[in-house]
Amino acid sequence: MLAPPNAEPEFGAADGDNLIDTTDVDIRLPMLVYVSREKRPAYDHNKKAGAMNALVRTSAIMSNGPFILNLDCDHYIYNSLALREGMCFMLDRGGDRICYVQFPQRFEGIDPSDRYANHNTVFFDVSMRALDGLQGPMYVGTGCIFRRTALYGFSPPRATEHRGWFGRRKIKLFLRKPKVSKKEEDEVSVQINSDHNDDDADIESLLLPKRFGNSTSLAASIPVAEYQGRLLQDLQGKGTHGRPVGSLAVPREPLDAATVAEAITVISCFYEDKTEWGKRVGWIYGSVTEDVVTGYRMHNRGWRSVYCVTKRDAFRGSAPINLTDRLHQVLRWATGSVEIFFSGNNALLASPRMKFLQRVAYLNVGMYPFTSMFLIVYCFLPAMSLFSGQFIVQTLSVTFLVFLLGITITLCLLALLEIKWSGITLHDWWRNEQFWLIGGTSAHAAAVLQGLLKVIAGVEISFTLTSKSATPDNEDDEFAELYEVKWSFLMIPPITIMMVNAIGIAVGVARTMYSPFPQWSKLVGGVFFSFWVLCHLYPFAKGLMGRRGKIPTIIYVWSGLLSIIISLLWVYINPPSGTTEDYMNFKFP
Amino acid sequence: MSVTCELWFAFSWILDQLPKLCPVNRVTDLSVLKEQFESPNLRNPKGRSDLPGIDVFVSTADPEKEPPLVTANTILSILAVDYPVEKVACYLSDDGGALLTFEALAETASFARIWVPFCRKHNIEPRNPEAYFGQKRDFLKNKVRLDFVRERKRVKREYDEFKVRINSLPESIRRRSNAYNAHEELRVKKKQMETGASEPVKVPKATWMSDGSHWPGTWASAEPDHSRGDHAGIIQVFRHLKYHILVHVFIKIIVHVFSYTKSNE
Repeated sequence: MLAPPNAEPEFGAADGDNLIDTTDVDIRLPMLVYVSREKRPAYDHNKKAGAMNALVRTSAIMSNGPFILNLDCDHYIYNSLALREGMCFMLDRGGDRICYVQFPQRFEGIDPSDRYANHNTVFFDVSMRALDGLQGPMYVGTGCIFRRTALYGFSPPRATEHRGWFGRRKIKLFLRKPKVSKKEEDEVSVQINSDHNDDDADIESLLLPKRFGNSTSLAASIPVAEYQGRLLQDLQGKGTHGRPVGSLAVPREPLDAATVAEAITVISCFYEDKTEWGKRVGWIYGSVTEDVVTGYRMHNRGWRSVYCVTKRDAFRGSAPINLTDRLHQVLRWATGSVEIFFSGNNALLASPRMKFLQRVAYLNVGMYPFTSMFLIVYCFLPAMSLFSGQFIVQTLSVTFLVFLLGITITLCLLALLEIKWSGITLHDWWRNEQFWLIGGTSAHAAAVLQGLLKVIAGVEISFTLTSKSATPDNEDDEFAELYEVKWSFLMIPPITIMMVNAIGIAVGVARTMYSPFPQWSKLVGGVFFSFWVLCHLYPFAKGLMGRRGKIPTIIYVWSGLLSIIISLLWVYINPPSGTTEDYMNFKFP
Repeated sequence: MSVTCELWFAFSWILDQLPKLCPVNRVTDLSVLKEQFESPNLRNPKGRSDLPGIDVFVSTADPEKEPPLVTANTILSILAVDYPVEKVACYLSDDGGALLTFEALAETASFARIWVPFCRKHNIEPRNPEAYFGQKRDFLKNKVRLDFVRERKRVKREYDEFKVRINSLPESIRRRSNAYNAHEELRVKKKQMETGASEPVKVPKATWMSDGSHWPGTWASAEPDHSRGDHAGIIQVFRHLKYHILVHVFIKIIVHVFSYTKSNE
């Protein structure tokens, strides 16, 4: 009953009642299972991480594949060879140290100009590929092939400890000692209850109910998954023993009702009580970004991961394309990062099995939202300097200019290098930069506030409250969603920055024009920086305006007029201190 | 102030740049994989696949926010993946426990009977029907089999019908449930008349499955034991039979272990 597909290919027939002629075509289908875990109000269901852990347990009992691919429901397989590509890494020499193979996330259905940097190419094509050269990329929540034993919280067969300054001193560890068993020579079929799981198998088996809960079939499935996930014998590295060739070419056992009943018990809501699910085993609970934490824990145990960029995209999905949703997405990530920073998962506390640079990378993940505080200051600074008539630095000396030039050129070169190396376009890079500023001044700052309040005062606040505006259903426009604006608190800081800078420019221009000794160089300097900030915020402004062409030109004229009037008023009422007295006398006799 | 800012920026820039010091690029060679794991040898004379199994997890939570058609397309692309069939198992986790998702999956399983062989026969890419039929480029490129055009037309038609069926699911579930509920109410009333009991018995507004039994997951109207965040665990293995005939082998074991009060919500 309910048998998984046969091991032998089944070919269809050419008879008339089939819609297509399936002669010589394999018509078997993979096993398909619907799972809905039990939920009760008295139990915390832990959202997606909880659902994934329930799936890990059911699948262990029903099919027990040694590898697990995790996809979001809107992320489909774009390249049908993707699984094979991933397995290439897992089954290659040294592949027994790999805990997961992460594929880049690619999106479709995004507006061609990619206004809010939804493709995230800088992250997926630069940062992640760079991490690949270290211990491996982070887990980003979808499109990732896991090794089941790594999810179970086991350590890799071999690991390197990095001690001393910058992790220079390396100590090789063999966590699973090779044990030569004579049985292994003639073992062809899958061995159940084989005890070459860990070198301290006895302790492990004692701990099993405490760790994994008290399902015996789940416990029995763990060594099988470990065994099946091994490398082939002739490929085995130091410190492991592989499996013999052909040992997996056996048909799977059919499912029976008892198995399914067992599978039901492991998705009951109280199964995880007093176990280590969500703490050390499976997806880790208690974080908004459970994916990063889950990947971090594996790297911390000394596993490596691999980034698999395929020529033809492996998976494709959809992304939120309107401004509000995008901001909320960024806010969620940033909140997760702040949480990670203030939790035990902070990279400063990582185990010595993590490489030094990998640690720096994870530290960066936890730190980046804090930059927003300084970013906001910098966004107001040019405007302030225009208001007060003083430049950011007191004097523009030659050494300063040379210094500035040097830094700017280096930055440009670095950016160019990144672009050349990773194959992204300058446009992508610029969009990313723009959105970094938009997100930095709004979502990241909110996340830092949220995080700090939570940690210091224990107050939980959420900025994600939105009042949904009624949106007209427009079926004709492919990107109708893009122009949808839902008001959110997150939009206040960027709007303020924009206004202040715009007014600042106007004030600066007005003052210089009316002053008897116009200091144009000062003005150009100030205006340039102010304009630079505004440039970054341009997509935000465009998004705020809503639909193309809906805003009549008169609005722009009015706003321009208003800002000029305000700035003129400013100059009249509050004469800049830098200007001389006789100027004032001349104007108001 | 400015100095602090500068220092922090420098620090975060270093944090950002340091991990980028040793980039690598990787390429895979699929033919080697095939040779090593899928060619006949002494221990494996039939050339059966020696690749390890992969379980694919798809997670969905709310059929309102994540349309069932999108999920169905994802499932189809997984079922049609190029990997030994007996080694792949696809699990859909429905955290909402919605009958809509369940029935959409049943429809998907039945449509896969035609979609997957079609993909295998004609090397369709991508194997997500929505994306495939929505492609703007010439679909005849590199296609040499003569029956391709006819079969593509048929499959396209079949897919359109499948789409309509998925779209009509919420309505049909509602109508079915209303009919069953009305029937049930009548039956209860009749029984009441017979026994002469005076107090009105409340009939729960259930959501019904097509085989005439209660859906164990969440119901359209939140009843105790069947609301969001409060329902039994469900596992259903779909058996792929002939197209359009789907056997509901439904195993539901509702686990009541703790005494749970009905005063929720």
